[in-house]
Amino acid sequence: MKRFFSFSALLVIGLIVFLPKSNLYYSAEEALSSTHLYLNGEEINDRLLYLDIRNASLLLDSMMIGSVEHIRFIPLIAFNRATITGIEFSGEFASLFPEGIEHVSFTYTLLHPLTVAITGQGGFGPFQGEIDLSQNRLTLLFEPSAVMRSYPLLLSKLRKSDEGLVYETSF
Amino acid sequence: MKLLFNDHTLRTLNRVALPLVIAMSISTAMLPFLKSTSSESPQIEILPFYDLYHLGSLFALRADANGVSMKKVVRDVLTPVPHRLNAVYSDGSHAFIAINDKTSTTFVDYGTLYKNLYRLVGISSNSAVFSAYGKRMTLRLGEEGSLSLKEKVTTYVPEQNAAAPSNYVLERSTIERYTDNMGETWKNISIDEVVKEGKITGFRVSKITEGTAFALLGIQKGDIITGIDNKPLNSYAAAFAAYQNALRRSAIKITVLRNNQPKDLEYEISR
Repeated sequence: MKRFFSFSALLVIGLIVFLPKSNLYYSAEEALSSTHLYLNGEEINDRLLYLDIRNASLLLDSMMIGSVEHIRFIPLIAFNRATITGIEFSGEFASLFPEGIEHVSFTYTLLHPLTVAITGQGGFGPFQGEIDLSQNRLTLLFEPSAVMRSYPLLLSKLRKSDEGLVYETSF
Repeated sequence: MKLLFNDHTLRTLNRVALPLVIAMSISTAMLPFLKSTSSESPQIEILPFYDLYHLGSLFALRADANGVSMKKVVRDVLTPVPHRLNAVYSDGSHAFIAINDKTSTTFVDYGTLYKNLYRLVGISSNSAVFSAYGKRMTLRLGEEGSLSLKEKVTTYVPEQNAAAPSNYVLERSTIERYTDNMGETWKNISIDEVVKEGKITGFRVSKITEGTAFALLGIQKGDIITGIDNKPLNSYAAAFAAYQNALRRSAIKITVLRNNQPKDLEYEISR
């Protein structure tokens, strides 16, 4: 039994270390491009246990709409997390988008294989939600606040519920 | 002869190396299924709207298919001519650029005409701005771009549209009010994207408040906005570009699909 555990532990460590993290990121980037969003000009650093991406420009099709300071992918097989910090939108879109999102985390664990949990904090306040992988549905829950009134486009896409303001979309 | 590895050493090595080799093999096996290069954003592709939209009507296919009487219309259309800004030079008192039109490279001084048509009106460290036909065209250093060339295009449009295009005068202050106060905009009009085969083909007006500027300007609930200023509205980028440029224009043409018939709504923007 001891041998089995040591074998498994080494296999998992090996998988984490040898995982082609950059290629996984490129594939994720390609999936994102189907929603017309692109990350350009980023610096990619493949670390032993995680992947760091810094200073990416955020484009909607060919239009620059903002920048992303830092993305960290931590693929630990059973527990995977992508944390994005410092998302800033261009000033000319101030009336359409929030000025920025301080951080947003996407967490996927084998304990909940059909959902990706989302937590974050933006200029409009905190939010949380999940991606239901079985139904291809994204749900985000925002806390109602006075600041939200500054983002009419966002508000127009939200519906009220007992828990707060809900954004739902299928993909 | 002394053995280099005894059984115990080999077994230990096996225990450590085997899982690592398996892990490396799994990772290597994943590579063919993953992308090996980054996805770059597409360049802005401006196609003459009528070439796209009325391709069928160029051959009067709509008239044959639907019995709609067509009328020949000759219009000036700005078509993109590919160019690349190769270099920008500036020493404080003198500035010029090197521009390539796919066949040759030309050096253009600040303030002078390029091809006797495009005046170089702005230079920054990474871009150059040309002016022609009352429009400004920006090329970015090292990137493919385009300068517009006015061409006469013959198209065939349904009689009703050709005979009676809808013309409106739009106060600049009205546009300013709506662009400055997006809250008011979204209270009065709702727009949803129309997606066909995974691609945006236009934006459907799903709600419009009676008596507001939008309703008075001829936009109706159910209209699908398919183009602005002869450019297809097939992405959010195109929609935002139209939103950004609205205040800079002296006239705007919105093409909508109403009851499956294209209709042009033309607006003159008063000062």
